Amino acid sequence: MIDRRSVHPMAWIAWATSAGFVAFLTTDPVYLLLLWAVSWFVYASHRVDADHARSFRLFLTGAAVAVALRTALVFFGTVNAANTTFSFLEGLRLGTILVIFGTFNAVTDPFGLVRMAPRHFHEPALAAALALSIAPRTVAGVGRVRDAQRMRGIRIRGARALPALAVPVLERGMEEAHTLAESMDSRGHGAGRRSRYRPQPWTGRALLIAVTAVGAAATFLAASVGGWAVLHPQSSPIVWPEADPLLLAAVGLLATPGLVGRREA
Amino acid sequence: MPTVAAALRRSVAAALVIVAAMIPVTLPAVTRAAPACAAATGPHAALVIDTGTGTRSFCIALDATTVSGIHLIELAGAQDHLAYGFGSGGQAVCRLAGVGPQGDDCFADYPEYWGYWHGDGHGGWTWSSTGAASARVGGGALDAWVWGSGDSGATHRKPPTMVIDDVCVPAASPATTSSPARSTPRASVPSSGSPSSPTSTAPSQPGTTRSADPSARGVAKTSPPGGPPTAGALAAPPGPPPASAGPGPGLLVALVLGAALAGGGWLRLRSTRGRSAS
Amino acid sequence: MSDALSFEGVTFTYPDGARPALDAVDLAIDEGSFALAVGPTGSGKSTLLRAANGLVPQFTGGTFAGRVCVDGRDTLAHAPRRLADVVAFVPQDPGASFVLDRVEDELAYGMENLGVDPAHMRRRVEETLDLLDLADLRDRSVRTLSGGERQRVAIGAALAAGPRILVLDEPTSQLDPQGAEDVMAALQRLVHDHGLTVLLAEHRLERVAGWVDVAIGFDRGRVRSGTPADVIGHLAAGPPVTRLGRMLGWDPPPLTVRAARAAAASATPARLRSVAPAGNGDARGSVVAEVHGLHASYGETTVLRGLDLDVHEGEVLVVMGRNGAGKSTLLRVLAGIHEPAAGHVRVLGTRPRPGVDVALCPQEADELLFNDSVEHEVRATLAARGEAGGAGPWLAALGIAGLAAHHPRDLSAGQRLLVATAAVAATEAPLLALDEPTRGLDPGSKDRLVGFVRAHAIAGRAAIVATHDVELAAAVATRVMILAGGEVIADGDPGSVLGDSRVFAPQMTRVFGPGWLTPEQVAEALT
Repeated sequence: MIDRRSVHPMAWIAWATSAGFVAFLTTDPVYLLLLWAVSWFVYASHRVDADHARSFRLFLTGAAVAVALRTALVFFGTVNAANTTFSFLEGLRLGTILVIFGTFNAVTDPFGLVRMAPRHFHEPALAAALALSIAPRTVAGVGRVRDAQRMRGIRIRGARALPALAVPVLERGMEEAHTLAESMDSRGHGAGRRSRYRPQPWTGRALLIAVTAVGAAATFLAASVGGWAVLHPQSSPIVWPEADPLLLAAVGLLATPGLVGRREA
Repeated sequence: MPTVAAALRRSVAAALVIVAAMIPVTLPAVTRAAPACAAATGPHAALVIDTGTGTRSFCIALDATTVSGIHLIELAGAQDHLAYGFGSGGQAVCRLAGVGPQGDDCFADYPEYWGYWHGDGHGGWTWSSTGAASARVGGGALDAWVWGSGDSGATHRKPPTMVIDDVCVPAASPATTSSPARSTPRASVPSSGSPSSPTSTAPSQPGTTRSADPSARGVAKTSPPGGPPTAGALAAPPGPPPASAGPGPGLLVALVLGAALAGGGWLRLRSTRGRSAS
Repeated sequence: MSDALSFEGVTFTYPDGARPALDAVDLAIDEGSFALAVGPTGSGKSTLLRAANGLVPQFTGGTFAGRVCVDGRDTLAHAPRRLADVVAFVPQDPGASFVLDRVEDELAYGMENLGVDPAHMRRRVEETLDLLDLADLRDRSVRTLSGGERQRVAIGAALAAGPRILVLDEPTSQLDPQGAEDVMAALQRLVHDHGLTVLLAEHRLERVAGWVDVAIGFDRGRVRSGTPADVIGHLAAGPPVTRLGRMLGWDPPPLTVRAARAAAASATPARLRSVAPAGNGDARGSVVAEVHGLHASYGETTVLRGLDLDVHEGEVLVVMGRNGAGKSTLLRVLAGIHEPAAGHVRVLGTRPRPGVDVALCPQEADELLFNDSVEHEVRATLAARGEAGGAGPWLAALGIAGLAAHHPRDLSAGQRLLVATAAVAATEAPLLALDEPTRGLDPGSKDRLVGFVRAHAIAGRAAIVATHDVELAAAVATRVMILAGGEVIADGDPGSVLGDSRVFAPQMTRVFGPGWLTPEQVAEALT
């Protein structure tokens, strides 16, 4: 049964690459924060109901941490309003890219993408998929181990109890990863002969998503090449960041996945 | 899958891709700025910014007899929306028109930096011996900033050859006075050489020292003389909204958009959470 | 008939192993056989299974001597992935082996790797869905499946790839009796009708002994293959009917209920019919735990509806039911870990405090173990209670005093379960709960567990055990409860509840009638 309703993974790759590219090209907080809102909207509309998708929250936290850390880097030089703002904007750009990647992870199936990867990208794609699956599995493991220890009277509280939580979680995690790797190997992963069970059809929806995303990226690229000042608001002296209507519209284009309908459960 | 539908889909895709590809091609042409021109009344100085990929010129109305090179740039920002960034505590020029390092260190992108030139009145340029903060600019003066590498005037890239009259068009009649907030394309080189800037102290003799055809200076003209009125709108400088004191309308639009997306997302999450297993 | 699988002089030691896991193994498995690997835990069964597709030694490392040929291919010359077209392996923990999210995709994964054309893949997937009764689950995410459903999907995924040889490591450990029977029947059909060669390792011999035609006995890395009667008949631990046969001197000892009935008809004196079976004891003290009107859900599904239950001192209550019937949820509610949607739970009059009033040993023993020795593991529980005492009594109660200095990770799965149980029992909670102690539980460990639970009850405490292992229930229960559809459909003494059920009847009941639960009980009555 062909799943006619889900979006072709290549469309998601186009979306994520374009959105990431846009974030890379600007430090204007208006566009960057709007990208956060866009990513959130796309996530809410298309997230899959699988373990790895639950790490979106982790990505959000990671993004916030990235912003904070990069902003804190200003303390390595002279500290003034301009430099702090500059540091913050650089951090915000980094955080935006993380959020976009978090959305991408939540709307696709990383192991499914591995199957689609061309021969030479197979190993890194697999490594990436495995890495992405570790976090949610670890989170699930933490809950189970905490419960298990509670039920024999050990409450995980404070640093002293950490081994009681960490050792089983890590051991189980490693064992599960080992079993998975064993399973993939046994079932012929990477043996070279490939075919697709249900090749994902390119729906009009996927096409629209891909094209609008590329258009958004192209717009920003053109603005960047054209030296548009609005892409990089000045920080010395600090002024209110600007928002050009054309570029706002381009960012809005990236919300297309959420606008063309949500993922059917 | 019927092949007709597939073929149709493919051609629609191709068309859309072509359209999407057109955007980057047309935008740069649109964004190449024409030099800012304003009718010259009161003391005016000219400011030329050469980013390496393009040149922008500004005719700046001075608010004092002489101003510092730094203040000239600030005036350009206020009058013509030039984006700028200063470093070294506001004494040095780090960033102009979106080019150059952010932050306090103007040499962060060394060997490239903003070279400072003064026009010599004959179309030539002299490497500035002082920094922007101590240089004095008076009416009729021509300041240029060039992004490039080279430690002195001998090795650094020079601005294009020009004189102040190429930037500050002498006012033919009061009717042609345009407000500083609008920049119009240069419609034509004034044929009559009558200098109408009464307070101009520029050494240049506009009538005699007309330099080479302006279009050869790497300044792109976007429309032929007397082009369509829409050319004016198209040639608006990039990054339109002013660096004004408060948040602009674009910001408000962005806020509304962001709120709508966030709200939409939250609603979608709630409804699917109600359906699926936790 | 040619060899599907052959081992020639195979000796293998794990990288950090003290002694060889396989010792000069010479074995040939014919094409179209249904082979069973039996033996005590740690005797090399899992290692042999993994050697069949090259995981040993290519994935594990270690020192390997000898040759393993799979369908004519040397496993040292071909990477496991290159053998995937002839041999498929189903591991013990199916949940961890899933690659993709949807059941249907998971079934097709192996075929994709082999470059099977899409039309053929579609057909195979449909067939596999039907064969293992998975059609309703095809769109489901594998994460949402119960343990038994996962096991069937894992088997299906291996079968769908169309291997000539199928290797399975404890494939029925999480299946209820009906599920186990369905899987064995499906495998046998494939063996008889399609020439599939099957090699499986299983501890619960009562579930498999009657289906297989070759048995391979393992003992400290050495193997001996022969007919099931030959190999299993000589094992210390075998299915209940075999153990009974040995105790009563039947020769050959029966392997199946049918054979046992035939032997019993001719050998057993008629007086067995008139003797009432002695129960497991029905000392019932005061109430330890009570549950009224319990409604509980697991995720979005309501699994328990209006359950009423009480557990008394001296009782061992065994809760049975199909996979997903709510047994685990019930235990977690009793332990105070899971909030009920409605109803109330009381242990000794108060809401249960986990680790204090109720101690629950989870299905995965590894979720508890974090110390570097068995002794320290038990001490950790005591320390959390503020007790300074030693672990000795608890280890002795579970028969693992000799393992006190061992690192838990070095032990077998069954031994680790015993360690976890000791660690949980050291809480001295009035109610001890065991959640499906079945995976990896070898007969020796099972005996020790049974002994411990019985002693626990006799000492005046209470225990509740969730399991679908009928023989374990028969051995240990003083009371049996069956859950279905979130409700209690049977509750009473083991003899009548298990005797009344077709699915959950132990072998002794099937041979001798309701009330007869364990071979020891029958043997005692006859001697």
